[in-house]
Amino acid sequence: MRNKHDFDNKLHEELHKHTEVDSQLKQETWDKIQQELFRAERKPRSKKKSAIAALGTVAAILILTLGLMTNTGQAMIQNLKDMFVEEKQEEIEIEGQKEESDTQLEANEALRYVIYVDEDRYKMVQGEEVDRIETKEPLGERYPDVFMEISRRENTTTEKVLRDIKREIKKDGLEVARQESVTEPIEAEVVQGMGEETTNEAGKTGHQWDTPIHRYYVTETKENQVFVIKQAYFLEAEEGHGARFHYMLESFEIVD
Amino acid sequence: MMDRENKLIKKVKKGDQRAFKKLYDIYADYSYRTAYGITRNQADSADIVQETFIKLYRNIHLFDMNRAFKPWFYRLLINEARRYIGKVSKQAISIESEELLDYLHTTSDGELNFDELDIAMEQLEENHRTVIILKYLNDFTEKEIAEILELNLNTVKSRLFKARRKLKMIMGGAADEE
Repeated sequence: MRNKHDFDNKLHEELHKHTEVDSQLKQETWDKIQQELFRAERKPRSKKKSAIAALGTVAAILILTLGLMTNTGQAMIQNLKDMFVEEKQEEIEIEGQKEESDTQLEANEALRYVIYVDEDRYKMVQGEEVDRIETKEPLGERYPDVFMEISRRENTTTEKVLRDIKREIKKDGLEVARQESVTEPIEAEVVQGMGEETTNEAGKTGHQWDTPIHRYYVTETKENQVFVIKQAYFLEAEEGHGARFHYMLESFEIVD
Repeated sequence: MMDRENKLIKKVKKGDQRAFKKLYDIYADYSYRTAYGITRNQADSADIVQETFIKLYRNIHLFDMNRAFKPWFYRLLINEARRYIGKVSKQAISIESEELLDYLHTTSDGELNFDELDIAMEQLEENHRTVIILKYLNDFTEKEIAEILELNLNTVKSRLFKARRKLKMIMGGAADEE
């Protein structure tokens, strides 16, 4: 070791050479991580269901073990619910306040997408054409619509869908307020429609607390399939329901 | 590369297990090397890597996408290694330090030999061993090491200097450098 650089170089070389990792060990560790993490997170939702869930857990471990043991198991097309954890806790910020939100996985196997829904406040209603996330407790009649809808349009393009959406906004009596490309909460083209300015009983002219907002996210997948996510809420609810829809949409994932 | 990694992390944040496996494949190798470098024990390093990835998955929502992922990940790893070392009882050193020094000084032929290095690394205090591993195994800059260990840059420089000096002293090479 003649000088500092020789020593440094040899130290670098020797540490790299003698800390090589056995690939079998890496695989074994991954198996343990997978079992610990995903088995633990698929916990029963209520105590009443614990006995059934316990049997389900045993079955899940067996399936997981068998799946890991065979190539056939790994080659099978995975069920979306097996690819994502069932529950997740998210830290979100609503009106400047941070809060923890418990979300549940909702997967549409036919449309091959997943989204995590805050099931304390909302519920997913799967329809034939459109899936809708709506408030668990219905809002009073004085409130405009509040929901988030997810649909897939086939054999079309983003441009064509955007044109259709603008027509739809006008048909709903709203004005196209904004169009932009966004990367958050998902990569998409966004068109936002907003109710017209009106004069209220107190004589104030402009947008009112209940002015409706319809926000559309348009994102294209392979083979001319376009997903449209429509969020509907109103001005006063922008930082409440609007923000919660934003956070839920962050978890939206199309699985090709 | 960074874009790819960012996309992967975004997917992991969404709970995507396939993306999590890809992230594991990218980071597992150097996680083991690092954990092994610090603990000197293969079984312990497997446990540390396992716990680190479990913590990563459970806390990924706290990771700020505007910051670099690698230092954040290594901070988790190092903290886990330290927690682990603190938890397990210190293993007895089989050779007394004085005997060890005699052995190293009499057998050293001036070249860096891994067996000597291995024993010398074991003699280092944990915080000295950690900076050596981060610098010479992981190729982090001193600034990055400071970020990972949440230390002042000068503290990192000082620890590196002392760690290298001690390594050389144990291995009988101190005189060569001066």
